[in-house]
Amino acid sequence: MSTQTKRAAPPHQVPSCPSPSPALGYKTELPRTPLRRLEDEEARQEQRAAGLERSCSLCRQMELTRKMPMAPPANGRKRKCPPSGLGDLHDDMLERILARLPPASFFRLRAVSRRWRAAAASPTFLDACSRVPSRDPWFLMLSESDRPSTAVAFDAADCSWNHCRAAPRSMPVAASGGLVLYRAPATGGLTVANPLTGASRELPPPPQGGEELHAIAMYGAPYRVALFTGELPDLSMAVFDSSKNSWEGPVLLARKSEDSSPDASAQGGGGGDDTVYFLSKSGDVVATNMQRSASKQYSSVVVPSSERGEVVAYFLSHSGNVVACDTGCRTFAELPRILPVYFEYSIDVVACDGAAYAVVLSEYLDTASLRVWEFADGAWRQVAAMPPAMSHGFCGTKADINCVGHGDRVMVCVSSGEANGCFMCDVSSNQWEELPKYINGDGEANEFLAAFSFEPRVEITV
Amino acid sequence: MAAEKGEKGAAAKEVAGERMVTLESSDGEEFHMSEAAAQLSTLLRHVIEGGGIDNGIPLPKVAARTLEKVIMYCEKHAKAAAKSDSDPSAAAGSSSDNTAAASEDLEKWDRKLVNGLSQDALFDLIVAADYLVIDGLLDATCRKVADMMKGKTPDEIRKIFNILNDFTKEEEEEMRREYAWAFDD
Repeated sequence: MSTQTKRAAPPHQVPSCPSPSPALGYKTELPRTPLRRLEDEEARQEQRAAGLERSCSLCRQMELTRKMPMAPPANGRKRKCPPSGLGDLHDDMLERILARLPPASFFRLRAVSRRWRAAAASPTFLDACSRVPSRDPWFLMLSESDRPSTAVAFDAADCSWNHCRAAPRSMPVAASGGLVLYRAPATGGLTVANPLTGASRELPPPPQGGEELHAIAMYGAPYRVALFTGELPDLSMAVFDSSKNSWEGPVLLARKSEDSSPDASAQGGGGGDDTVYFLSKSGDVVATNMQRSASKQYSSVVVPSSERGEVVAYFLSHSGNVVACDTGCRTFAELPRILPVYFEYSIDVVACDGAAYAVVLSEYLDTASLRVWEFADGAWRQVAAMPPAMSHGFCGTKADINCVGHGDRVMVCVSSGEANGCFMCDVSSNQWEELPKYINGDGEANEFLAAFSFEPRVEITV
Repeated sequence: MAAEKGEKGAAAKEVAGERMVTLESSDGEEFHMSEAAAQLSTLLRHVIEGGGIDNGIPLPKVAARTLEKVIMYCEKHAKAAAKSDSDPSAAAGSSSDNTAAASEDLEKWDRKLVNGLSQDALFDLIVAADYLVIDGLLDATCRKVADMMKGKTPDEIRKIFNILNDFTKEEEEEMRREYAWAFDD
């Protein structure tokens, strides 16, 4: 092996224990080579040689320090080092590897040695993290109980619960990449935060349109925040560009030409009508108010549009119609209803695998069903359905569903006065699983209303 | 497919219309590699462009068994790139399913390559990929090491990689507390 050959070469002198404190990290001792260039080949060879020298001095230190991972070497083994292995990788390599670990792992492994802890804090490490194309998401959970200081996130890859930092006096309203957008209900102020690191920034106040806020969307990198205001058919959009740190708009959105508006009015819903009256199965006249719970009042989902950097934002109108707004073309369209309005149901939209879906909880006869619908070619098509045994428990509970999608999975939070549960659905395989309960500090299981998915990225700044 | 022995001094010869380069491992073995595959290594690309490779390229830092794996990787990826370049439907962007499936197959192949290696062989492959500047191979090997580290305690990591614990007991305790707040129940 080439490296062993190098080590066997006699001439290098084992340096004496370098300083009073034996526990100095490698980083502070060795000349730090910049990210490799070919011309620096010589420098790298030197660094590697120095790294091997370090191993030798380590052997001597092992005799001096009490913390020895193995028994003191017998006579004559002073100059021999443990065989070269993955522990001898130089810093760039170590950082590349640490960057590939899920957050739980690399936070924990900072405790391996001082060198590893220093590596996990270096700017080149953050650089390596930013080059990891995607990470398994965490789901920031929203619960009714007001515990603003400690937020809980579900790590889907690990199937475990983690704590993260939340913005005070605010509610999460959108999430994109590694950031979560919070809105203070009292003032309407917006804050962007990285839940993993706790870094946060308040956004400048949006342009006052005096109009009612319909939905909020966050997308892109560097991130942008879009506010949709007004009442159908007069929708406006204002966009905050983080790279410019300024708001643009509000601009009026044009209705897209192939809109199915006749369908909407025939249902009696129509845009802008909060209350819909219909005849229920038993012959009573009932009203349904599709006012969404405060937690998901302004929620929307975004999917990339044909125009680079722009998206189509989907959200629910007050009457339960799905509305799609194209930020690039500045148009909007109302999608046809999935179910006739007289079915009692709760509906939410999710983005999954770059496409938008609607998740509908409906009741029919004595059973409840939870189905996932895709809008394609002008019509809704069912793509997944919760096993009836699972959804049956929600029959008659008038449950509210709040959903979030990431990759090819959708998390559905079902909440009502009586029944509560969070489920994960793999849309492509139609596999459903209930999440393990989260037991809080008081020994009670938290009841979650909704969730926001984000990639846990330590390197994303606000 | 590329590890054939060839004659010395006939480095940049053509084989079936494809230009080949000769590489010499640290232990004196000769290997042949298509130029297209060699382009995946930034180091080799510069050496080839600089000319003067008629007598082969010596690689004193890379042993034969490691070089063999490196060449396997480069040839596989060069072929895959050539295939997707020449595929007209891929150019038109219509068969995104095909390209997605192809890249998934390639990823599987990469994983299989690194999974079969001992810790020593993996280390040597990382060092070689770093030296030859082959980004994709470096990524695949580092991902493998990261997989080996996932879910392990610091103590287990120290045992596997032979690392000395240079923290004081107090510092260890503090880091354990920080971690426990975030990640344990």
